[in-house]
Amino acid sequence: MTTVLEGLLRLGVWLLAAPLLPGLINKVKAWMAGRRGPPVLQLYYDLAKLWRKGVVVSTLASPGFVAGPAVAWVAVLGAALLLPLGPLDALLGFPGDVLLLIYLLALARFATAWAALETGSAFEGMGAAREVSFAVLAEAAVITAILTLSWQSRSLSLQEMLAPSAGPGMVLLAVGLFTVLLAENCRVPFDDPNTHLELTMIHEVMVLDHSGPLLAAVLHGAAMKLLLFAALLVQAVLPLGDSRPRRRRWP
Amino acid sequence: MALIAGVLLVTAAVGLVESWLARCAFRRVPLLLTTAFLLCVFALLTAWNGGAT
Repeated sequence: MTTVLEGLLRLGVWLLAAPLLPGLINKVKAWMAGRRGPPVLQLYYDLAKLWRKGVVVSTLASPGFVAGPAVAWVAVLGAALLLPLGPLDALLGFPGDVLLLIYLLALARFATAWAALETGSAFEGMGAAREVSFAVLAEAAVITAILTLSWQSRSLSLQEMLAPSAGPGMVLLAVGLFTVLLAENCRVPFDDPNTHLELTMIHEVMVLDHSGPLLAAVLHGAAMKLLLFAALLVQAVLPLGDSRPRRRRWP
Repeated sequence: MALIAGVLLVTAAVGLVESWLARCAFRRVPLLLTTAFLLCVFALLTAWNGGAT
């Protein structure tokens, strides 16, 4: 019973805390610009509003247009549940789970690009092409960072890999992972979540035709991905995590 | 608590970096990702040599 409650608690943390992060970022940006900015809880209001609305589907759109955001949301949630949260173990952790994490994030990207291509609009196709072009570089950096952590911990389990260790390598990894965080979460300078200019849109153009609960799934999935990368970065390189025992499995 | 503080720190850093970079004109953004990849490669090499353990 306690295990079930703990599982539900961790699930609740991922689902409920994630929309707070974009609000905090917007608040910091507004503060830097000398503006008041939207409320920190703005994304919660937006999600509640979108959930009550209907979905507009183009006559050209295939079922992939509806399935894409759902698959992407489930994939990001699955990836999040693989990640330990501080002293709490991962809900679905197992040896080798880091490989599943990489593939789930790739699946989420594929599903989003797939849904964008299914609209039958060249504009969304352009955004999908840009997204996967950036992914080639971003995923290479993520995989190299994972390799670094894996080599240090001599393990392929996130539970053992995410034990911070100080050193020059960690500084390099922190800067690299932070840049990847910006790219993977469509932040400036790689993308601008608030833009409506054709030339600067990547992620936004892919989800331009989505509405109602589908758009809510996309926005909530993006917030969860941001929380996932932030938690991964903090636990991997910043000396803030707990001191889990690091077992060396490789020679 | 440390994890929450760290995540909030990273979130604030994203906001600060976005505010700062929004004033700059980046024409070769993919180079930033290439740099990130290279930094991770150097981190791997450092770990390989035992520099960060």
